[in-house]
Amino acid sequence: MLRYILGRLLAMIPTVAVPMVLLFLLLRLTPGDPAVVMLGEDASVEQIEALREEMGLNEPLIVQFVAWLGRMATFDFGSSIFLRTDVSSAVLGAAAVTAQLAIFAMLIAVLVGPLLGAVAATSRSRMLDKAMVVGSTVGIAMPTFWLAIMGILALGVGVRIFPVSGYVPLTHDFWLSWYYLALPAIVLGVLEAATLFRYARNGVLDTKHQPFVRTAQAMGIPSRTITGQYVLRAALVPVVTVIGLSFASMLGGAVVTEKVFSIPGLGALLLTAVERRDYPLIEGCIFFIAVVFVVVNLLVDIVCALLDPRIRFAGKD
Amino acid sequence: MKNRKPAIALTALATTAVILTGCAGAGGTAPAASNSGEPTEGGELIVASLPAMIDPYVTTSRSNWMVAASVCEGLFANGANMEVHNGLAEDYTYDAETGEYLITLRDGVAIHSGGTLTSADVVASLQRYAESDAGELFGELVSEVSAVDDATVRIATVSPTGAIPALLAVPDTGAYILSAASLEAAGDAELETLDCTGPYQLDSFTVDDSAVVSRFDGYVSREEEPDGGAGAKVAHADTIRFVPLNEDNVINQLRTQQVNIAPQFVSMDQLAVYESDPALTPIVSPGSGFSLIQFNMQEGPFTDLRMRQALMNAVDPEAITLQQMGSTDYVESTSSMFPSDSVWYSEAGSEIWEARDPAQSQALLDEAGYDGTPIRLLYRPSSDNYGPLLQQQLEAAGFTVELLAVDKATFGDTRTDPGAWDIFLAGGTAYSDPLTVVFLNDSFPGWWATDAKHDLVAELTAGADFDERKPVWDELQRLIWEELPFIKLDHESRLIVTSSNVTGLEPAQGTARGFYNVSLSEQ
Repeated sequence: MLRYILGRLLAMIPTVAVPMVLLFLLLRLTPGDPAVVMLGEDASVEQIEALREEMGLNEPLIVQFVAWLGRMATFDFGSSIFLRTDVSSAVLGAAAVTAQLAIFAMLIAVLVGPLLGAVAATSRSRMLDKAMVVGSTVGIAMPTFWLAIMGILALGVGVRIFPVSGYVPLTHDFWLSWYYLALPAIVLGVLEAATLFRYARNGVLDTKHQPFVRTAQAMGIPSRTITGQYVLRAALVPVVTVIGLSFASMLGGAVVTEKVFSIPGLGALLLTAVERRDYPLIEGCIFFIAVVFVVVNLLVDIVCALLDPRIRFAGKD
Repeated sequence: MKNRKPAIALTALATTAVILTGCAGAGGTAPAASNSGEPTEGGELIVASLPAMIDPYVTTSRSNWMVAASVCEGLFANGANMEVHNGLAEDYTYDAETGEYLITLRDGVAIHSGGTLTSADVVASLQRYAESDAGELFGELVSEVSAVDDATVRIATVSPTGAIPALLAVPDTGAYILSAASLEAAGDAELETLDCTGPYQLDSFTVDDSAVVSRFDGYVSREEEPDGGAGAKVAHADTIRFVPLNEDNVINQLRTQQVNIAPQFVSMDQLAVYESDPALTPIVSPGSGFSLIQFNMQEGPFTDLRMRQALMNAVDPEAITLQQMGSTDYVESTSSMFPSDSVWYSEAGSEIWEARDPAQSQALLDEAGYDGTPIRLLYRPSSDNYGPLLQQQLEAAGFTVELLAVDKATFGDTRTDPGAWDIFLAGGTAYSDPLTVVFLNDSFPGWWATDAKHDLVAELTAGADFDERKPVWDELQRLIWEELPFIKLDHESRLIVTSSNVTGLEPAQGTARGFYNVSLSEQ
């Protein structure tokens, strides 16, 4: 397994580097640059050209690329053009906010989705199961922004349980920080729970018909033990995969949720950076997201192997 | 037994929600107590508008001057209808022969960092402004800014012009006066703080997070009645916090008083809803701006006047207004570049605009030899969403239209390339002087640079005072309709929405504005 992990870690280099090169090219080839955004609508063509020159945006692409490559090789993302701060600290700061939201949302999703999925599977075809299946279908079909707005109207404006937007840093007030994130976490968590519900329900139903379950039943092992110790464990494999990918996705920025709730996370940071064509900041955000995806994928594979010994790495173990 | 499991799970979630609910009320900012509905001193006013940069000189984007407008002042100030008043200038004289201004400063004006305003501060500020992108026109017109004594500044112009006070009137120009010491300390770098004079002073600014200003106790206000950015200014709120505008959620932020003022609220089509909501107060500022169709006068089919005339005849401004605003109640149908309450209002050339007839478009297109080559219409759906409607109107008149829907950055870049577009959609604001109308610059994308225009602009610039300049502007206004470098559509109202506990915010034209004379009352 160690060899497998090392191999996967080495494979991370091209997996991250190739998208970064493509990103560099796409950004420079896309119309619009930070000079235009910085100077504003009333700027003349001459003023824009002068600022471009000053910012080095008029250098030939190959010259810009070589300089960029040198910086990337040393993980030097430079400074954000608009934030006037180090890209690494800006990205890590925003990622910490997103991670807090993602953890909260996943906690809700993991507590609700798989549990209800297992319950639905064990009461298959009954009214409860059907109701939960319909509910999860609605949840999966619901757009994030719609549920977010409905949540705000119901729980923020209507009964005023939660704040309608904003973020309080953990260092400023620990409990208030979680409180401000509660509504966005519920929105994300409910949507994610609907997906996990489907995977858990299907996983349990599939596993219940596996030969090893029949064998266990024939051996007289109590039904509760079979479900709790064997069925759920095997059924969790696809659920863990989905949890991992969803978590990575959220860490990559829950763009819509962060935007609607004014949460200064990675998604909001990336969106603003793209609007402003803040090249260094876009590159920093994308690099971070790419690394997160690769690492989380690796972790998911390892956890799946631990859950299900039948899984073999690259057919060598 | 099995049936209890979902109940247990739901109970757990509900318990979590209830625990979190217990935290409710811990956050939020309450204003100081007062009698119900009465304005009060104190509290924190939260404004949903945060500039990307604090330095008023580095950008031409007026919304970036929103913080500076509460913290700093200029020699001159715009009233609510964009007329020009004295600001830090007590008085001034203008010699039309030499083109020289002698400006006397108000006495005893305290600066945030200590000391009082002197001519050295004004000279340093205006020199920096003249060299900046925001002050390019001022820089072109002025040959020297110098101090006569501590309280008198001399501005010498390249050639006589009566336009200088309008070009230096804030908040809708970047001509704010800052301390010479702070400008010297910043050198060529962008300003990170604002050391000047105003009812508030800047405490902190973090990009994309917040700018916080607090009452400046040393401020010495003018004594005239408040009028837009001019007259008396009182800091009722202890602090003003500027936060980023959340377009998706700002109305709910206002309803719950998490935000108090949304000054850049563009959409008017939900006005009736806001008016009927007791938690909100909509404030409508008539004549605050207009939509505009800009022609490419340098390359392509619209270098031909007949093509521009054909397009003008094809446009139905009322349909565009209805689509943009949902009603024609809050527009002023006028051909003038200035609204009817402006001293610069002019009906010259209105007969050309009013005589438009879609039936004439095809004849003009035939006359111009238009062969159906697609017209490239560049626009931003985020701000000028009537692109598809205009396409429909033009195609009904015989044009073939290719829509180029882009984001803000692409728009700003693409329109600087004359080979990349034929018409683009933009917007104008309220102006204090014709020379501040950006579309009239030769270098503005569209590149309107005819001899007739140059002659009139030169005459307008050289005019000593309003009486001398207004007839020239009337001629230039007529020329706009005759040469059609762009089509100015109806004047629109702009909407500010506040939470219902905000009092004292008066309608004002222009984009930037300060938030003095505004207070919070307890509901």
